[in-house]
Amino acid sequence: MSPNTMNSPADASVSGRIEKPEERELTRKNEEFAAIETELAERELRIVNVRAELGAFERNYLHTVGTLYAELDEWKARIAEKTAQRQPENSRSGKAANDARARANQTKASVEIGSAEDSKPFEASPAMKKLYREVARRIHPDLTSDRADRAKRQVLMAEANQAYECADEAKLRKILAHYECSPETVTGEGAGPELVRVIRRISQGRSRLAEIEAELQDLFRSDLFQLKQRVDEAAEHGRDLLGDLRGKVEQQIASAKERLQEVGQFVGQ
Amino acid sequence: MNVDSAERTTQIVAVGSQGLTTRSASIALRGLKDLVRESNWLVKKVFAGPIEILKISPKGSVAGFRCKGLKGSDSIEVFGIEGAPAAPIELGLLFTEEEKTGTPPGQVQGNFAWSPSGDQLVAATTPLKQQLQYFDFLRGGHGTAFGAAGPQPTHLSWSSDGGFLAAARSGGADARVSLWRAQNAAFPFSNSCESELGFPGWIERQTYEVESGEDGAFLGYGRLAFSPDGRALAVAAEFQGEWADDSITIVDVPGMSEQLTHPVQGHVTDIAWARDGRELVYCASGQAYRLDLETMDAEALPFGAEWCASHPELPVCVCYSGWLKNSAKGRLFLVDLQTLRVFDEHAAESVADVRWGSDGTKAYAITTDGLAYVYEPDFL
Repeated sequence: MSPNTMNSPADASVSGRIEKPEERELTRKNEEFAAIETELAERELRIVNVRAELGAFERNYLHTVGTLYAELDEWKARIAEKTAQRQPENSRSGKAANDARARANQTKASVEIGSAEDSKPFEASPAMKKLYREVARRIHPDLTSDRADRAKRQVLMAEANQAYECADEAKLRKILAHYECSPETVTGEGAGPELVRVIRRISQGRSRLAEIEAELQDLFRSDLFQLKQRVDEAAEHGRDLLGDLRGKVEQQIASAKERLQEVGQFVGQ
Repeated sequence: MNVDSAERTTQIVAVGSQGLTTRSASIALRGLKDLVRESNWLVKKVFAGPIEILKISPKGSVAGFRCKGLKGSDSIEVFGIEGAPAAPIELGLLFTEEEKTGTPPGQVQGNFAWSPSGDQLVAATTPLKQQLQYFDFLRGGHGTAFGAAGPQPTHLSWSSDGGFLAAARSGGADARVSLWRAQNAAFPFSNSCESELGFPGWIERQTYEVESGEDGAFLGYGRLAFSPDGRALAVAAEFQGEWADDSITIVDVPGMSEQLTHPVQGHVTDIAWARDGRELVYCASGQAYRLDLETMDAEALPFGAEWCASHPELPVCVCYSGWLKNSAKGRLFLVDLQTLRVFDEHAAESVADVRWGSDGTKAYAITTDGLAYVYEPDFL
């Protein structure tokens, strides 16, 4: 039984007892809360899907193209360093070499952290989606007004998101079972306090919905998402855009190697 | 009542991949750019045209004068070439009541000058009649008119140190070039200018037999460009007629006294100073030339061009020619002024302005249809 429906005024009307005004209001608010619970679960599912798809694309992109950018930046840094060596009195060349080296290190670090050779596009099964919806509806931190309960839910929700992104169904079920058995799920002190609690939960739920929407818009505006969209659209037309991009960066690397050779010869003279 | 009133945490759910997304943002942007890059040129649409009068800022913004004809009031719009597409900034023009109907197509005149920082703009556009309008984007972008009445200003130039602004006006015998010294940060220009170049004596002697309106008559002043040190100004004197020849006059700043005059073959479309201030590169009737200011020897360069802009530090020019030999198609290209080698060509049509960014790492070009070309070389 959900904690939000325990000792509900609906039970009172069934038993023939006269329903108090706060109990009627609580019924209405519980219905409203149930709708928000469902919507929140849907939205959490949406954003976790977008994040997971984007994460998988990012790992693949960094592995297939990012590593080439790291190599290109390494060659550029070497060119800048050779050029600075050629003009020791030119402070601008020295600064350019330092900047180029810093950039090469930064690109290399980003690529090493994020790329994964075996990265596959993310796709959740309908069963996983259904399970995630249930988990989000039951343990979402914004659907409780109890401080200790919320802290516990935050940890569980983060674990649930990770489990979903890894398609770990067993772990998701374990998280749900663990929470259902915990003492925080037992509440109830009468209609008045319950009404206040549910109103606050509704407010929190709405705030979280707004946050999710803003976060989604941020993700949609990101360069990574724009890139993924282009790659996906091209794939629908049978074109490998990441392959094309690899080719372009490989050309840049070839030019950089030639340039380094020219600069090196000049330094050697 | 035992209701928890603890404040909401701002980060409710742990974010899985978003941190990674932020780390890889710059590499994702590089990928996006490289997908649309052809050679070292990046092409992107920044506005829906047509807009005839356009000027690129050192920061990569574009000011355009949108003529709406009888559909409404004309406007100045500012677009960003860099970054994600965004709505233009529309600047309010200071109209009189009669001028609110908009400029009929084909009668649009005027120009812009960006400050060296790219944060201020001076506009000379048809609805303003003889006056200029100053916009400061660091102070809200509101326009302030300045300058005395006279013929319509046609070209503007702002010195690279920000100290002087010059406005060229057509108008035959009334033509002149006005020079303002930038005085204070809040509003640098007053109504009265510091000095002027009027109708020059040598033109009067040369054209004394030619009536106004006839071929060969002096029309006024056109393109102008400050030297890199801001101590000289090159200005084109324009003459009427398809086959008439313009000339380029060098005047000192701020005195505006004539130092040198160079006769040109055809009409001048652009002037650029070489970085050392000893040479001018100019375009006249589709051909590019180089003028040595010490010897006054001019040579035709081995390529055609209508627009040219000098790199702030290197002996390199970015040029545009609307007519490519044997194909009648336009092109953007770079020229090494030491070897005269042309490189990194790119097809382009209807380019209205070219310029280098302030640090010389990028060059920009913009077309009247709103296509922007960004030249971002790996090795220059």
